[in-house]
Amino acid sequence: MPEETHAVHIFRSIDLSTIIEALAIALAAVALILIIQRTLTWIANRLQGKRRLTLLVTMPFIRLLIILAAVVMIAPLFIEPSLQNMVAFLGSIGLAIGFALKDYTSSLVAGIVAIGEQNYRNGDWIKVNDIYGEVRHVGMRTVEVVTPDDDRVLIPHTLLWNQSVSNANNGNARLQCVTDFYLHPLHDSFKARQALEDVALTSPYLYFDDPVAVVVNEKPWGTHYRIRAYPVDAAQQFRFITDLTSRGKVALSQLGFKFTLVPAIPSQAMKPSIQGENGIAL
Amino acid sequence: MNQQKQQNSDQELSSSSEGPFKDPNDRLWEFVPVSDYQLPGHSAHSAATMFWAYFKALFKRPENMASEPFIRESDLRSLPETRLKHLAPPIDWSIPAQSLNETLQAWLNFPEPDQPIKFVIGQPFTEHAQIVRLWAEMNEATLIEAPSVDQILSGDQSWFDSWPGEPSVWALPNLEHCYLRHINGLNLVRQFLEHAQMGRLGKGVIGCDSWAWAYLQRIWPVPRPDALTIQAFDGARLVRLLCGLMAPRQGMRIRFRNAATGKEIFSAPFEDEQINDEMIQLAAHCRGNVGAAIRYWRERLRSEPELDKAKSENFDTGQKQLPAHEEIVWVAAGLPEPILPVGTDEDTVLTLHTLLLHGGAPESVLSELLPFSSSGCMALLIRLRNTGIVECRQGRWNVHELAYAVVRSLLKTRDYLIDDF
Repeated sequence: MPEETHAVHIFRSIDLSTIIEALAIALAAVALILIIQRTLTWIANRLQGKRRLTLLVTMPFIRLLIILAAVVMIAPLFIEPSLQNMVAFLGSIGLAIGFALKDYTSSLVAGIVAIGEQNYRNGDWIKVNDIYGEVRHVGMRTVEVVTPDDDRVLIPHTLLWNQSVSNANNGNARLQCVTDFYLHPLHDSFKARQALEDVALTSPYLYFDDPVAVVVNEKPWGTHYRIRAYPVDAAQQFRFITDLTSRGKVALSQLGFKFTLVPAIPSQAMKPSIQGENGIAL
Repeated sequence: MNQQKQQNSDQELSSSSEGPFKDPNDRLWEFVPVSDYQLPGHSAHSAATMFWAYFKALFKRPENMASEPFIRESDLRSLPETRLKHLAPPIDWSIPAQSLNETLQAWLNFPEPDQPIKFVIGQPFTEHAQIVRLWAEMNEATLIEAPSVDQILSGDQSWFDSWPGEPSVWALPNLEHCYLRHINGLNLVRQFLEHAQMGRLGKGVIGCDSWAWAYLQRIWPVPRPDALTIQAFDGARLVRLLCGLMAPRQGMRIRFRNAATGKEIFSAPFEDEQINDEMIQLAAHCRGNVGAAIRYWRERLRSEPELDKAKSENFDTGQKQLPAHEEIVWVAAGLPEPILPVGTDEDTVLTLHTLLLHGGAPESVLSELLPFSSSGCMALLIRLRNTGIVECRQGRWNVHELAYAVVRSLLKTRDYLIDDF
């Protein structure tokens, strides 16, 4: 009997007006989230660089705050607002959800951690496993990534617990692009470096306030050149790499450099191979 | 020629002796190191007014945006060219060339100066090339023309044959036309800068556009703090210049009034102690660029049809009749700028940036400098020309004077390389 009385004391008497009020708060919260998301996205798409990213980053925080506010407003409608009651109620709910929807709950918690730690934000370019793309939306359960092939990929936040996440720009407007060239080892490396540096300096996409570097590595099959440079905007990375690749090939060919031919299958090293982009084999 | 120069100097002196320009040491055309360029700012009042207007515009419906103007701009007409020549004639660039000559005199007379070359950096439309040419004429310096596109791309060493041997002085008016942002377009200019700075070409003056200068500082990173530029034209200088430019008519006073408010901006000859906010705003908007400011001013001048003359004569200040020796010229309230479309596409931005970095470029070269096809480039240029953003002069496409401020602002917002002004 005392336990029954206690349970009755936790909950308030629920009538139609309470349900309508709770529904109204929930709907208002959802509507507010949708309006803010759409408005901020609309404004952000009209901004560039850092300002765009800053605005996009605020969205998950605002959503989290609205959800918390809605919960805080709805809970007292059903429960007598005392600390004891709230702890008992939320504990019970948490336990039930924890068992029934373990993975879902894990994703939600990971989502809150992701928003708090800012491991990735809207506008970041991230790589998780083999998926590389731009973060478009950090939801409560998943992060939405759009790949360069325009595929929408939803990655659960739970991956945070046991997978590494590579973030190319980490909240910055720019990210470093690496363009590879593979040359036959017999050539004047200083000329090649100068030519490749000029290729970067003459790109219309280049961001000048970050450094341009040409890195050279000698490999058993040739010389590997990498141009490390930053485009003006992260979204230009593929056009930037394409521009550097095509003009770099022209510049190196004009200087008489030969691109290396790497056998496609190591065990068949002596067989002819098909030359791919920048001289790498397919 | 000398007589004309004397006349211009007299005009300048006569205007400089009026109103707030009583300081004889305050020179209208002054060449200063680029780091000493003083960007004109908005006055506190005009900045607050602009912010308030912007804030109100966010919440107002378009039809309510403007209060009833003093005189409707649709009732006014643009001035004919002959009238414009009288009220805002083109700048005589021989005066700044004379000022440059005075600035460089000590360097020129010194047999072995520390720096064998001097750079003169000009913002677009400030005619740095013309100033350097006129300076060369004054000093009988050998004028070096920019190499052709083929010479640049092939790194043609015969271009260096154009230089006179020492002790002759030389002048290269437009360094911006001596390179191309192309894999083969940098070698010649790098060689030239090396030869010139090492003194192998003798003593010379090089004119360069401010955008090309910003780019060249990246590909030939040798700081030149002594590079000279025309000091910014703030509101006071602009009024002084405009008053000086106007051909004086005996006993005639010209009053320039804002068409929206009816308030006087200034009158010529200048008599007010205060520089009107309009002029301060114009100078700040143009970032001290005198060429652009004068063009804006010319575009804004309006005259009244004869029928409405009575209204202007019964002006707000106590309905007093305008004296016969006074004349009113109306100034349109808005800046006559083309509007860039929201979310201007990347191809447009790249094209505008390329045009500015090269001080304008012929269409045959543009497709070499941009990552899209020649036909696509041409279609884009025509589209931009139709909206008044670019223009083609003497075979070179360039950003239009009235679009320069918005284009610069766009490129700055998008983090592209911009000039130092």
